[in-house]
Amino acid sequence: MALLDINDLHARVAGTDILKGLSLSVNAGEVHAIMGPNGSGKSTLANVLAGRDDYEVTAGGATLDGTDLLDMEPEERAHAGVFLAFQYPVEIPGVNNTYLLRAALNAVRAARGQEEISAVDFMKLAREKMKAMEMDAGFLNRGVNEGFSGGEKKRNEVFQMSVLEPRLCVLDETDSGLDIDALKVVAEGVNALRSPDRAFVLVTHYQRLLDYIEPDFVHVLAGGRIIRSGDKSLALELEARGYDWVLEEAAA
Amino acid sequence: MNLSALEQAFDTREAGRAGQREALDALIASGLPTRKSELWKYTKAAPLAEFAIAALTDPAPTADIDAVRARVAARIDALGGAGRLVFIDGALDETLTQLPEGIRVEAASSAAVSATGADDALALINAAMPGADLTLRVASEVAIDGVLHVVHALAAQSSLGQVRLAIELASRASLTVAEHFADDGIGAGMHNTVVSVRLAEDARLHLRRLQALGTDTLQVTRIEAALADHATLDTVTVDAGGKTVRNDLNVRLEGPGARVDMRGVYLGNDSQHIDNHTRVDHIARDTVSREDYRGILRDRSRGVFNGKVYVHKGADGTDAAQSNPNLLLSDHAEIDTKPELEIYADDVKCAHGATVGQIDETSLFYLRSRGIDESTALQLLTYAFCREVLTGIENDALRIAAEQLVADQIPDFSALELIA
Repeated sequence: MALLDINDLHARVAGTDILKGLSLSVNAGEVHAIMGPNGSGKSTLANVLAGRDDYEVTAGGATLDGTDLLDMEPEERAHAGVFLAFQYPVEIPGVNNTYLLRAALNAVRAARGQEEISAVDFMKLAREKMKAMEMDAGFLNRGVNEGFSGGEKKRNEVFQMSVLEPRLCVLDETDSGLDIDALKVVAEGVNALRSPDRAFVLVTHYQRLLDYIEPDFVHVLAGGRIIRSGDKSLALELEARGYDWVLEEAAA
Repeated sequence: MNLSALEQAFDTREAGRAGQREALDALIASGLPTRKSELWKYTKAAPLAEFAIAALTDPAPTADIDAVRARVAARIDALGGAGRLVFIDGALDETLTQLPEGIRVEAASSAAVSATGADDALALINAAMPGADLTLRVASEVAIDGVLHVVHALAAQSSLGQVRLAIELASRASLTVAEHFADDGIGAGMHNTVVSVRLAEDARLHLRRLQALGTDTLQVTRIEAALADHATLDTVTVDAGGKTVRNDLNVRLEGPGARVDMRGVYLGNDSQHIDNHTRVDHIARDTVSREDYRGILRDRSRGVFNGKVYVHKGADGTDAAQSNPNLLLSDHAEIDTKPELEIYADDVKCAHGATVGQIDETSLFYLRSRGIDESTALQLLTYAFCREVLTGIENDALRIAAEQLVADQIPDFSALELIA
């Protein structure tokens, strides 16, 4: 059974149909890149998978390990191992970065039947993972994303992901707004998490990210459907030729 | 309403302080403010005045003062600090009061308010009728470490606590004062306090007010402050209780370079009514005011915010900023917010903004997507909304006490350990 199985998914936002019959199967251990022109529905897919409620699913379905994903609350999806790295991570002054992450980890651990992590063990884990993301330990004492630069916010997303060890990682344009050094750090963070038990869905507009995170599959999303799938060479071809030829071939 | 009962009560008392009779005459002459008065448009003055007058003309039976002291002591012992002034039903309680070195206390009439008419009716009642009347003085160059707690307690149901307090800091003196209002569940009572503040050159006063009254108790506070050259006043006020609460905070920036920072948070539940009126007069050049009041209103509660900034002729270089964001968490909750700017000077920077909204959906989704359940996420975001005001309290013990007051007003709040 696939880890994530999306079948003929239709979804709308504010009365506009965005996803129009999207199907995708992702096995554990795989990295899938979702590419496509602006407005094709890439971010909608990411948000629907994480359970954002202003996105209305009108037909089709999605399962995680065979369980109906769309029937679950966002927090239940997190407990089941879904993680969304936000395109625009939210600043929440007043809620502590560290304490939030520990509560998140303990919620996930409880769902897995594991004991709560002690404060000491958690801090050890957090410091170790932050170091890998080249983040200053001072971020631990700040409010969630409070005063972080765009690049720091993206690093913080991958840092959270590395602590929570989700089964399905959905990255929504995590590469956007990153300079090349930050992109490498983020990519290394993702690569370090690759494992036979875990899958990634990378939503990206540019091929650049895929120089550093090598995908197993590349899909072109346009008009709310996947119109072409291939291996990493498809991304290179898109980089060289743009999207128009794919759109034309799909229309033919 | 009939004010003659008040006059009678006055006449049967011993000769009072200077100014009492004048205040009473002014009150009788002007009567009580009606809703036509702009300052009392949203909060009815009459029920507040009636309660105060009834408590004066028909005083509550004397309570067992030792029991009251024990109850108050149990509540305030954990506060620590530099010292404390304790008022029970508006009278200074010398048993519980402990004054730090460096503060001189005088029985005084210098707190007499510059009351001018019907808009000040509650201040006139305060000035006319019984209640402690003290002046605290800190001499030039003296910095008092730690917090001076001013505790306002009520002895029994129907009690009225009227206090007039003047705080006068000489040049370069500094002091932190925290006023605490609680009624320990005695039932309906009322506090009616007037604080006048005079800060000489370069003096610094931090004034904090933590209010956690029961939902039957009424509260009227009035602070009148005047600041000389480069003096700074920094206020934080937390309203986490009370049935009807009316706070007036009026600050006059009289000397060049004087600065006031005013922060407040008000949390209304049930049918609580919380009204904050502030006014800053920029009189001298290069004066600065900052204001940030935040409201969280649930159920059928109602908040009122009126913030006036008046920049006088000649107060060039004034820099004033004001903000009043509000969270309305129920369809029946209400906020009336009104920033007012009047500017008669040049080269002035003034900014103000008031907002009314709900919990941010994206923030809520972000927390939930990290595995935090919806109800905890909502509580966290509600708390986080007013958190910035509380960080203005630099004293740790006091800030923690304020945080707890706020958390207690958020139903089922259980996530204090998640707070930054």
